[in-house]
Amino acid sequence: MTSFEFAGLLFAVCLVLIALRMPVAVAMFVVGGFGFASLAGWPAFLNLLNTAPFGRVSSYTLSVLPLFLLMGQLATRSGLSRSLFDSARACVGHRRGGLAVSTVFGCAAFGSVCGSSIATGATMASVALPEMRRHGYSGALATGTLAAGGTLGILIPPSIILVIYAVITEQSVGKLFLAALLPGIIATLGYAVAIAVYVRLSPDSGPPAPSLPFRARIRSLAAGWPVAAIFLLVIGGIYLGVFTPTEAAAIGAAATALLAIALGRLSWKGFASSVLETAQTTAAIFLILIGAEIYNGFLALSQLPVGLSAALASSGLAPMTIMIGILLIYLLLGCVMDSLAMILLTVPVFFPLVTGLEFGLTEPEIAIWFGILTLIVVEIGLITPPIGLNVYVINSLADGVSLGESFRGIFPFLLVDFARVAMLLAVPVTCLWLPRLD
Amino acid sequence: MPGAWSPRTAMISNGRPGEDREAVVAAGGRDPSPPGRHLGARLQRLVRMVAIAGGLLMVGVVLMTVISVLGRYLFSAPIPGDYEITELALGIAVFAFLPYCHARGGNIVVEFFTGRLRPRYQAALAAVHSVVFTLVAGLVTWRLLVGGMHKLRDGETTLFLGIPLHWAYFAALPCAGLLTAICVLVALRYAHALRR
Repeated sequence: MTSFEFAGLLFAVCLVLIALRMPVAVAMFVVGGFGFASLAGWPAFLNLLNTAPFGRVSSYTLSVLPLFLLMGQLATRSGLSRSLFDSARACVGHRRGGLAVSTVFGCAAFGSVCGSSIATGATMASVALPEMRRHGYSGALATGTLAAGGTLGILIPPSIILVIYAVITEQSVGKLFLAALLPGIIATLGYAVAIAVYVRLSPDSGPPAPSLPFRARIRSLAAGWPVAAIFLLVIGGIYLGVFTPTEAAAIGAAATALLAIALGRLSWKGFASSVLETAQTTAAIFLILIGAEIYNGFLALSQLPVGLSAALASSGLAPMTIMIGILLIYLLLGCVMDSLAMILLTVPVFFPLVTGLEFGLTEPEIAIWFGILTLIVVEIGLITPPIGLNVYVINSLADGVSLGESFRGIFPFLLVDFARVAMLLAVPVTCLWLPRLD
Repeated sequence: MPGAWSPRTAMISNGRPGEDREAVVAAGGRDPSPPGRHLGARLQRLVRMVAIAGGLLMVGVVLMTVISVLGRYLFSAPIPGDYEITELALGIAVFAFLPYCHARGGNIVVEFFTGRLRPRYQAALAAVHSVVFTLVAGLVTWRLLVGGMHKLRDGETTLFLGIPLHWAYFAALPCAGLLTAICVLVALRYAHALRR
């Protein structure tokens, strides 16, 4: 068996173990470790283990993760979602489907201080679900909007998945954040359009809510400014090079805590649970990163990534065909797999392949473009059946809405998502424009 | 049908951290029955305290970074080498979080079709996985000890501040040991459940 076939076989074994419900981190560790030891010998594997696990968790670039997670947790605990929803509602709430559009805008705003999509969707749900229910929205539209809106959490910077992509491909976190900004805004507007069309076709599912008095609208609108300020501080600071992403995350976490305290919404107990929730999520992510470190050590030894790109380069396939093929693989894998595992298992293989292709872009630009495309496809994986995690979570929060209804409600959002991928494929400059200015 | 459904609100933002998770967990591929609920009360408290200690380390890093950045721009007096403290402190914190995450069933699993298997098969899978997890955790702990000894022997330090690396390794070591201990207990519990 050549080392290529061996690597392919072990990749399949890893997928099977994950499908058998072995913790993702453990599956990657065991398979990667076995492969590494077979190719380089057990002493080399034990040597790798002396430094790899601690080395992985104590890298400055990855330090940004727990800090952004803490920031998101603090924002969640302190009920910022309420003021953001109210702000958006003040603008568009009185129109047909307006509460759903407010939900999407609220999710986008919350996504600008929170880097994970399930947290964004679930937090927003606690505010938006009762409102939409009270005003007679259909369960399908309400849950679909929240599940789709939640995905804005990972698209709009800060983004946990993007940080991990940056680390495994050795790209700049700051540039990737910038690149995600415009696609994030386009996604938000796209979702708003999807809702507008939806309620035009099915007017009963999103009736207009009564308009608030003018003064109350101004007051609600103003309540959103602190979040905007934190976002500008964090992302602007990274953009202008005032501080590193890790520093920005620490400052963002501190600012969010201060804001929550100033609003009188953060108790000691709330603070302690934010920290513990951050601890749990951080540990889950880093354990997978440790497993991936071992797995990638094996992958590099097998030279599969290099071999695969050489084979494809000589195959005569058009670069765009290959890119679309990879994205289709991601869409399929995303339907059945955890997004983090998918990225960590496949990006080390696909990345050298993609950056070697000819798209009329420089190599760092391809890296950014591919990162944003991957991010969007991952995001789509969170809302496609059968394992659309976001849809499950939101559905579990809404009594009396069947899972089928929720997945039906997600359909229009999926359509605009696909349109967005097509646009980004055809016009890479959508995500490259901002980083180029830098 | 508008009006036929109602939202369950309080779960995410207001409930206790242990409870609000359940809904998310049951739906979202995380462990629906955290292994930690079988652990003794004293051990659970220990695991929680270790996680809180890691959390304090993390909060410390936040404060240090804010002070350092303010110092850099307001008084052109940053905390020198703060990034070395950041990465080592957060590395230790991550290890301190690992036992808590495992005890709470927070590690990511993919619920693809296993949820439809008969309970006995599910229990068998859980038992096998817990044994493998134990071996992995034990291996990592052992090599962390060896790695730390090497760093001690070689006197390796961080570049700028000269912090000895074995300090960080030996701080992470008991956390990895605690993770292994919990893995062993969970594995024993699953094996016991399987025999019945």
